[in-house]
Amino acid sequence: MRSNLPPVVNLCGRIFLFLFLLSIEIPTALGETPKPSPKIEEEEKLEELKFQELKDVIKRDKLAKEAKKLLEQRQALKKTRSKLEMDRFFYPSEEDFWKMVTELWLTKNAVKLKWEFEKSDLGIGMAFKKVLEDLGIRNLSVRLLVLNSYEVPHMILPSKSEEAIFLLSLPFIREMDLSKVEISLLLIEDYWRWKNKLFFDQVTEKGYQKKLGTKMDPKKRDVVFVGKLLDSMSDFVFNVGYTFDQQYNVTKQMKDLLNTNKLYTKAYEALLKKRQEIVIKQNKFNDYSRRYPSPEMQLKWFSK
Amino acid sequence: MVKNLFFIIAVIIFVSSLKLTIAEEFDVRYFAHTFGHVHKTPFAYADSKTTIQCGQAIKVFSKSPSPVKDWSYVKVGEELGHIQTSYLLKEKPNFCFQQKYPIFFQSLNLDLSDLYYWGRIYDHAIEFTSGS
Repeated sequence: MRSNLPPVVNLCGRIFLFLFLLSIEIPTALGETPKPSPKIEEEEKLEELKFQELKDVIKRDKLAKEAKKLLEQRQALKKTRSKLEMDRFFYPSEEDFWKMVTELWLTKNAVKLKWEFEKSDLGIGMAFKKVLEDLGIRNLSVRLLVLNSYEVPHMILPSKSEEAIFLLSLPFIREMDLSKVEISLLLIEDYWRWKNKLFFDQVTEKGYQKKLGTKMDPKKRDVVFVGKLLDSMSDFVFNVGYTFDQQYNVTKQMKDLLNTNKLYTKAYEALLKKRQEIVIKQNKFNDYSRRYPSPEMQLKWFSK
Repeated sequence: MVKNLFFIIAVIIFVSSLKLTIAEEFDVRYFAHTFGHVHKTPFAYADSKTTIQCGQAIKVFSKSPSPVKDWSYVKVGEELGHIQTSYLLKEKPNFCFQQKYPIFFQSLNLDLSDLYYWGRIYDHAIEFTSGS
């Protein structure tokens, strides 16, 4: 298509177009680096900051100390958490174990022992506490379960280090017609058995000793030893009882304890006599002298 | 007749508002023993409504429908009942056997009757510490 414009105008137009194109800057295309936009005020201030000075400020404000403290706390928490996590897979320690085992044994033998029955306040707790305190036995945590059966006349079972679990048969103390002081002294005999750790001598199953405090294999989860221990406890409580020698030592300890207290000495002698008589007279207590030998000898040992 | 009806309605409204007030204010406490029971009435030998375990959070209401000294009126799950106040702690107990040794405890495979009797031990035991 041909232009109808005069040649001069056409030429001027072309020159103008050429000059216009020259005036356009295409820097990248020409290989030039684009100029940065001018710095704002804040950037200039930041550039002026000396970081060493900043550090000094933090130090002066004790922020570094605080940060260190927080870091230490965090590490301590981490340690505690990982210890707790580890403990999950551990067998219990000996201190934690016995209270649990005794309670488990009481649970498993609840029907036989008959400790779950409604009873009026017999006042045994108050009387026992007074006798303990009168005889200087202090800081002893006592848990006493009264039984409605003849299965266990009286017994002490292990718990935590300063806690003892006593069992006491209500039919037994009624049959023997014991006063509250005599009941308390009967329980103090058991206190010596606990103090002398006789339970641990008499319970023959020792498999638990290797396990306590060690790490459990999560795949095996071996708790067979607990069942064996419960059986062994039952055998001791219901059948075996204490030995002649153990009874002698306990009687001697009772004698030493009551030495200065005439009232309690008389009460203990009365208890020993009642026990001797009931074992002779009543067949249902024949088993008693086998578990607690021998009421007759105890009286002699105490009188000597 | 109409007067009597108004009176009955007023009594019903009063009683229900009282119940609402009782249920409103509560604190959170934590159970201290290995296992225990929420009792139907504030009495150690009363029937159990539910079994609870060590460290369990319990709502303790400030008012009880049958207030008895040393007993708290509580709510556990949907069950309302009574627990001896001395068994409840303001903070989570430092030691709960089943929480410290969960794998071992789980491996004992306790059944429901075990949990029931275990909780009952504390209701039936006479407890004290001889003086220092």
